[in-house]
Amino acid sequence: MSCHAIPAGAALTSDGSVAMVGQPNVGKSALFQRLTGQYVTVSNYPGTTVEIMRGRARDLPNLTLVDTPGIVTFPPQSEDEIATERVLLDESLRAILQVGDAKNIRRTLLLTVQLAEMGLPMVLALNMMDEALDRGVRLDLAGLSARLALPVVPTSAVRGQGIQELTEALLSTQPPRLHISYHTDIEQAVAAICDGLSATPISPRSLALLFLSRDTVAESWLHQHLPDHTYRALCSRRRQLEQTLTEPVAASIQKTRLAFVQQLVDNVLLQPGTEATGIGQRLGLLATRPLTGTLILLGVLAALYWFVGLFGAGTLVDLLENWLFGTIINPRLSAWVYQLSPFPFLSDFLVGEYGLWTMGMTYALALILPIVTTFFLAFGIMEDSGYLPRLAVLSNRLFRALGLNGKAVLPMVLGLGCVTMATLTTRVLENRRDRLLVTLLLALAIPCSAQLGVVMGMLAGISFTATLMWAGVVFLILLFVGRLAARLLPGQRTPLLVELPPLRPPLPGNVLLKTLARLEWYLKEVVPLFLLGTALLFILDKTGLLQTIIEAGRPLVSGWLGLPPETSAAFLMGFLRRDFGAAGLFLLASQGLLKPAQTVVAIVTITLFIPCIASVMMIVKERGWRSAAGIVAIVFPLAFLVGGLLNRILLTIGWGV
Amino acid sequence: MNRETVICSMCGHRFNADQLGACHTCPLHKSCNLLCCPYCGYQMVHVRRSRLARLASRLLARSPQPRTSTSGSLVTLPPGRTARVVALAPSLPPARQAYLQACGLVPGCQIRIVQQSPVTVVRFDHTELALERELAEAVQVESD
Repeated sequence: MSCHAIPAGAALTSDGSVAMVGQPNVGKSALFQRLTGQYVTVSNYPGTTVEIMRGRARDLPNLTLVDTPGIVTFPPQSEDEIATERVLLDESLRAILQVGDAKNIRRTLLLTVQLAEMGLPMVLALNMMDEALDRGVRLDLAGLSARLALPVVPTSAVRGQGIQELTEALLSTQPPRLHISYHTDIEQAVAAICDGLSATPISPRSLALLFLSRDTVAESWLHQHLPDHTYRALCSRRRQLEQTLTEPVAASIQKTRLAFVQQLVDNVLLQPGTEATGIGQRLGLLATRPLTGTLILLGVLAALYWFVGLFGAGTLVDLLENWLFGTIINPRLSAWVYQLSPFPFLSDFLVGEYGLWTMGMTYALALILPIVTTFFLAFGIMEDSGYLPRLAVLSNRLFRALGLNGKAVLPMVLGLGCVTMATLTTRVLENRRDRLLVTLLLALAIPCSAQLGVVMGMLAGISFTATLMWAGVVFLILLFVGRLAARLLPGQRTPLLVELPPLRPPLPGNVLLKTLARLEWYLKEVVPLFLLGTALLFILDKTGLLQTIIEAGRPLVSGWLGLPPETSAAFLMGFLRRDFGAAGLFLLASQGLLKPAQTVVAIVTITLFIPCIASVMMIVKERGWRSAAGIVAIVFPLAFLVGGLLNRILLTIGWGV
Repeated sequence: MNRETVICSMCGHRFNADQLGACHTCPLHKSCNLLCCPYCGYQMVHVRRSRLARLASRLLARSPQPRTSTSGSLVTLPPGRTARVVALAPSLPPARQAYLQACGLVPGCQIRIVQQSPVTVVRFDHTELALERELAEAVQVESD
């Protein structure tokens, strides 16, 4: 895509951008799509794994719309919300477009008040107005607009209503002049802080209020932009305030705002409306009940596994890898390169066994791309339908045992399709601790579909007991490591607290757009990593280090695990690609070189073993080098430890020897 | 001798499960998990005898028995009940409290319990919220 990409992180000074801010599940993305059309880029916000979408507004030349992650209230509490506030503080915005849910006017207005205090030109779009009208909600829009002194536009992104009016309102909007008086002590502190502030991205008053609420983003902005002694003076002023007030500053501010909003609601909400009783509502209820919910869950999981695991990772990969790349592109390209290139070394580097094209690009385009595409599509549909939070509700109890909450279910299930992709979805979790924990469990105990196929095939060839043994050992390790890691990692388990938006059919255009934008991200950010990994392997191979590693692994493999020395190569191949490793073992077993006990030991070890190189690269990308190194340092010895112990146990009880 | 009185779920007739005359003559009586009402003939599951039925009835049960120690909190109310929020307990971490308030769960707010298991789900205004037990316990309510 040829897009107007904004250098991430750099503050925009002259070019105008408008931030779209709103609470989660208010149809912000759908409205964003209505306003921008196809010129969209998606990027990670610098230093985070939060996706931010940017796009040129179709009818507003020179304006770039920034779609921020949903924020419930300030100060921000999740990585997503922090990114939203950073957009507000770090990018010189021309205006704020708040998207709110017309049904939930109280929630919407609480955020409106906070955004209006920031003093930037602002428009409030009351989205999902059609739904609100259907439910009998009646609002005095003119009154609301007058009381807030900002344009209020009713919209329906799904039906495309109000888009034109919204564009016009954005063009002519003025900074709102909303003033709420807080507790006198707070007002004094705000006045003292505002004295020392100039050239702030948002109004000094709102920056001061955020700072007094111990908002980390505002703190770091002030710390960066003020001389040290001034910043220290601010901090001591805040301490002074905290000592005089009987309640936390943030709570006092919020209380005043809630009272203000209550008064607004009393005046503008003419009819509160009735509960919806549509089919989506009823389905939503069934989806969180223990029994019916489990049935629906199983159906959804089966569909997901079929689409991503079998169709994407099976059919499509077969088609692309074996047919398109295996028989058409790669042989011809290799022949051509070997013919043209004068240096065999260069040809090997490009199209050899560990060649940039034959391994790296083939890997990225033929193997991972189809999986990622089907996955992003499925994920987009689930995301937009409102089903994900219900899934979290259902599986909460299981993940409680692992020191997590129900939101961890999604990456864990997707891991059975492709661990690399699942590592990416750990983003849905709230904090770093949970993300790290799930990444570790994924890397350790979740076999991907490619590997699962070969493993099941081999185990079925021995006996059902062997399958049970394998599944039992892996599940025990999952529980054991999960509980242990949950206890050892700093931080508390977060109890589940999640909003359940009404179930609704996703908009095909929106899902498609999101998928495309995410694919673009994948091609730009992840593919280079594959090439890097391939180059590394190539160097290892050429310098003979690869062979040395295989040799060095032999004593471990034959002595400790009690396997034939040939399996050493299979383990190394398993790191390159999980099913390659399993396939190597399959070959050995079919030649009669592995006894049943040896097969079980080898399969347990390779399941627990580090996932493929692609997923390690993804862990590096998402969690950073240090966490990735830590995970490898845990998984690697543990896999061999468990394999070796299992070998000893099986020898002692004399099973399958 | 254990005497078990059963109430027929069809006609409301009370009878003793161990004294069903016709059953004792039946060759399949020994492992039979069903009961027939001697008055109307309606057949029902003998829950005490059937392990599967016990398991299923536990699965079908809508909510676990509410804990008595937390009277006045959200978890004490059965599904379908409406109530009014009185306060958010100070034991709630400030961030969670701010989140709940921002969602509209403020004192005076009218709520309806949707379910209590596997987690508490409440509905208010046009919002539906799922809370784990320890959070739901911190929401003090007054039943209508």
